[in-house]
Amino acid sequence: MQLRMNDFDSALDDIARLREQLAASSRFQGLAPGVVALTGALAVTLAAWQAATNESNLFIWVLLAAICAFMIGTEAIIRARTLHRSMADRMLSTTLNRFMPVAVAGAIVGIVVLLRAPEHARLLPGMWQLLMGVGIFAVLPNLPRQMSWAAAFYFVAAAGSLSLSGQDGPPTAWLMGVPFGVGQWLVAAILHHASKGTSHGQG
Amino acid sequence: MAKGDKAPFSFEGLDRVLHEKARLSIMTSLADHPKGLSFTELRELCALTDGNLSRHVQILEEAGMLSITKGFEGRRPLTTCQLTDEGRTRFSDYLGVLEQVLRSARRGVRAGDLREKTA
Repeated sequence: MQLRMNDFDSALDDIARLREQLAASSRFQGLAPGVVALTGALAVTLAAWQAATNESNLFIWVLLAAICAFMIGTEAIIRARTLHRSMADRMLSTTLNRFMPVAVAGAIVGIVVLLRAPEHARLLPGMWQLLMGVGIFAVLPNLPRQMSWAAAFYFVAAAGSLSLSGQDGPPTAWLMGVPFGVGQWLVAAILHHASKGTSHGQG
Repeated sequence: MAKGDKAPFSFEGLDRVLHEKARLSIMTSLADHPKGLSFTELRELCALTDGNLSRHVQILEEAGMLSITKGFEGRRPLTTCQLTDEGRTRFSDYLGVLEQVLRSARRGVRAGDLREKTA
């Protein structure tokens, strides 16, 4: 009888392994192009408003990032439940586990610099763009392959923003708004293109 | 049977397209090889004849669960099969139901063991 119970356990282990494998090799389709594009539009709008009012407070960008993360996250949960059904939880947790360290790093860097070393705040846009690039690369195995272009864009944008972060550079608002606006639209375009393609294989 | 626990053993999620030995074998082989397998590799892994494999692969392709790519390796024609996103999702759903079946059966065996011991 012990052998029969072992057989059940072994079969259940095999099933669990197969389901893990299926989730790991599936493209995550939870990210909605429309919502991602909207976050880009919000970034450009906030930058335009800050530039018009001569405002350079970066705390509002931390708030915007949290709102955008909430919007993208909520939509991702709804879409993943519909599209990935039984794989949804596994895929959501894999994606979150890969992206979360970078998001936490971005939040820590932002809050500490703004509170304790505000004189270096102009470095933040470039650092956040760098972290965004790292985050996209971390999630790349479950995203369309073309998403590496968006990650590369964020690296280039970060290099540009960091090199322009001296006091005589452009306003901080534009150092945030332009790269994040363009970057998010690029991500949205890639997601849209991938969703138009067939469901064959991986992105 | 507890109230609200309607037909706990109906297992309606068991997809009929997948619930067949050869097709299950093909899907399992492809799940283990995300980049796909050639027709020859599939035939060997599943121990199927060319005719049988073609028939079952066609059924799975028509159901949108796998894609077939025809190309060349050197000068030799090469047919490759790969699971689609839809195929992965449906196979995962199927495995989820199969897991329920096994858990139910295991509970039954355990209950039987206890009865044997107390008898």
